[in-house]
Amino acid sequence: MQLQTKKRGNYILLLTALFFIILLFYLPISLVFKSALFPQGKGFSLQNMADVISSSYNRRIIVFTVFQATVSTIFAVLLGLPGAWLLATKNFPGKRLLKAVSSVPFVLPSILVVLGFVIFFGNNGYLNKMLMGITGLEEPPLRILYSMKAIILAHGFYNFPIVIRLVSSLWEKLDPSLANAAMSMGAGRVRLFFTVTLPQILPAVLASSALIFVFCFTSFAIILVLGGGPAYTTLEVEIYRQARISLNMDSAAALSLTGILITLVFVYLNVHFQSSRNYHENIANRDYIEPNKPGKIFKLGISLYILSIALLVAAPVISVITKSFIIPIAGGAGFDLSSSAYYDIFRKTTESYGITLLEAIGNSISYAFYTVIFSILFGTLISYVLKGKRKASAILDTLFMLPLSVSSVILGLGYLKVMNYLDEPFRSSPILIILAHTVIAFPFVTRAVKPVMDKIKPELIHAALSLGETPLRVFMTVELPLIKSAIFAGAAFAFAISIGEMNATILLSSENTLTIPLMIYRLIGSYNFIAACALGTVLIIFTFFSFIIMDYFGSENGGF
Amino acid sequence: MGVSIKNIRKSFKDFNIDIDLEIGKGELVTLLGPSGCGKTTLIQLISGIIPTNSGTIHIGSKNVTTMPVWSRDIGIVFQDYALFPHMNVEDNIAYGLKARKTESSLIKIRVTEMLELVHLTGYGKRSISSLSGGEKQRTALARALAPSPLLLLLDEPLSALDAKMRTILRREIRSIQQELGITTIYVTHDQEEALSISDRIVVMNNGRVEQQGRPWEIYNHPVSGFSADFMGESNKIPCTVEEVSESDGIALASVNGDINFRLPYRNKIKTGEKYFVFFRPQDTEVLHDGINRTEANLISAQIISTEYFGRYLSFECSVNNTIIKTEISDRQVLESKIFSPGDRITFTVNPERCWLIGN
Repeated sequence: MQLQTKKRGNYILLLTALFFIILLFYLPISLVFKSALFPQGKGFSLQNMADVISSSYNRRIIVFTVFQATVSTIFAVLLGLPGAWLLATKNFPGKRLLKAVSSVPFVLPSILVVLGFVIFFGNNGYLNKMLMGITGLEEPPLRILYSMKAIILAHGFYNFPIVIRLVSSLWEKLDPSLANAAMSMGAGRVRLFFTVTLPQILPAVLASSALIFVFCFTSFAIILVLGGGPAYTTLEVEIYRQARISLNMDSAAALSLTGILITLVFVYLNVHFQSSRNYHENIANRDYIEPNKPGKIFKLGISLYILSIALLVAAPVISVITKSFIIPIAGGAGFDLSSSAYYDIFRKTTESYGITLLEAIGNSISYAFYTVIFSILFGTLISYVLKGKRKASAILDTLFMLPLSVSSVILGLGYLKVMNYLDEPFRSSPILIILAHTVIAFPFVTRAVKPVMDKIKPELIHAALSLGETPLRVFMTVELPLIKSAIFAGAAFAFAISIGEMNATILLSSENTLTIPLMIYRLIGSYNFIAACALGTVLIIFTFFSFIIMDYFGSENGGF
Repeated sequence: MGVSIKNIRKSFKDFNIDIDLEIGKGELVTLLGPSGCGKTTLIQLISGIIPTNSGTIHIGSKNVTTMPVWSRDIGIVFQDYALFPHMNVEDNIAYGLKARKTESSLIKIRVTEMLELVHLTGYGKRSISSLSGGEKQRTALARALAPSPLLLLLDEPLSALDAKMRTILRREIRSIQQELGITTIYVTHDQEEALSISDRIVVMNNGRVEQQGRPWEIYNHPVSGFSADFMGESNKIPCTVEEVSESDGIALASVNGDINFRLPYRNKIKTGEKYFVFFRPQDTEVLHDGINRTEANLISAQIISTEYFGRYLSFECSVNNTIIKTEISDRQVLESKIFSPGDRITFTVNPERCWLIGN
């Protein structure tokens, strides 16, 4: 009977979690589906889907989306593989640096990547200025921005760390005796790699490729700004244009459904490769570091690689900060070092944008605050609900983690549909933005908390219960203190996600609910790069502190 | 009354628990059996961690069958200690007292008392991770005992420790248990531990009680092959009863016609039936060459292997493929000639120490 009470309690928690996931995720998404399949509120019709897919304009967009995602994925994998190899098999000075540097893009908001690329790689960017200074050319030699090149470069930058993470973590666990066996039978280095090593790490390479493909497929801010025009439009950007500019919701919904169907295939592939037998077998419980000392050429290669990775990661970020302090002197050539851009944040009322930069910062902080609170509650609840469940857990896992695989633009579209059902004051209140951020952020809280919670042995709970505490008190005195660090790490992650979120926000925001990323986007659009960089620097600071907190609390459970 | 378990049943997919057990107040009862015999499950049923299908459980005078774990008033010591890693030793011990809303000044006194009891005075502020295995288990014991529970459950408490620490701690556990007079159920798969610590041993097999009794009863008179196998080295040789003489109080049993055992007639033995003849290696007497004796249960066999254990030398020998274990004490080893595999050996088996048991 006591267990029935406990079971009933768990049942209520599960139902609560299901209620919220349906309300916050499945309902908005189903409204998108409804709009795609029941256009104009009428009966079921595939006509809308057919119209959208048969339009040659849309078809070109779909083809381009797939194409850029494919090229970006290949580029990111090529960029990441040497790093994975280095981390997995070598000891070298700078290993820690490479690890640290490669985790930066994980937390960097995409609008900062965009801004950094404009400032660094742009036609008037630092790289071109440097090259012009060196070569004496009159024209900027590198024309990267507003082209396919910029998109690929930014996607590569954004995603190569995934390859490093996934592949090196499998690679370093490979059983060295297999390599020794192959070498004893006369296999040389090259032969060894292609016949023994590659087949073993292939699942990780494929899994990370599928994941990166999804990220590049659903990438938004990078395409929106760096693509720079209709020639380089992807599905996500088109969904946004249809929904917010053309105001054709049904067409946006049909594009969303198409996008979801394509990405699901790759999400499935990612899960499939990660759970493949190969992934778990052949794993020896030891770290294998090749004993031989690196030669000179090898050292040079490593140094070049680390240097270029560091440059790729650090240059855009540093450019943003630098630019915000360099103010051109009015009327003439020359620059002044000044923090005046920051005074402007506090002083100037930017009439054209409705609210001031300071108000946008205030919005971002308050949305992030509520997002953190909601994500912690919901993310922890889900960790608790999924704990210790065996049979149903595959279905429940998918049910609760599916939000990770639906793009935030489409989620934003779903919330936009929800907005149509709401009256004032909800319509213009930021509540929908906060809830959308929560849906995007809570899986990361769950990812941080669940492994720690799963590690708590049932005996510990039984011990506490047998000593006379009720389940609720046991949760408060035993479980909660043990998952506290993970909750802090998850909270910091949720904060970083919310404060940098632009994709869903751009669909939902009005003039009063602009956030830092949206303000930066507008400032870039009006070529006010100095103000954009000042605001970007503020965003960098917030992200940096989130990252520090995440790293501090997340270290014991391996972060994310 | 200590604990009364009446007809409790619990069904699992491929396994059923079906137990009836009475435990006296202040008694230490050991549940002994191989892994998977249901002893830990029984502990979980008694503590309420898992619910029963039917039957009743009384602890003291309370019927706890439907009570939740937290109101059963029990203390549990787990194999892996299950100490709260985020609390120090003191806070771990105080946990059950706080749960009972004990006044903080009284908690302080009680914790000091418990630390003294388990020989951990001065360890109160230590973190759990700084403790050795033995210290952890002492802390776990103090934590379980601090709220003065009606029943103490120890689930293989020593199996994570090394041999020396096991011996030390099992003595301490026994002496603390007797000092407090607390009713205790002790789960183990180690027969030596069970023999040395218990008032009574309950041998469990496949979810049922196979045999229960005082340690020496179980050791000397196992009722089944299972009990016999579980309690240390023994001989268990298939035989057929040839002759029963109730008036003389004698039974004769034959092993394939090769060996004849004479042993006291005990109840229910019938001529022509198949049994196992059971005796321990130390119930044999090895005879030296040249002594020609004609007493009962005289066996001549060929040594297959020898194993020296310090206190004794054990032999495995065979009579036409029937394997018999025997041994001589270390003192005899020095006095006698060297025995080695291939040698012939003659020994007698004390008839009083032979038992016929079912399978």
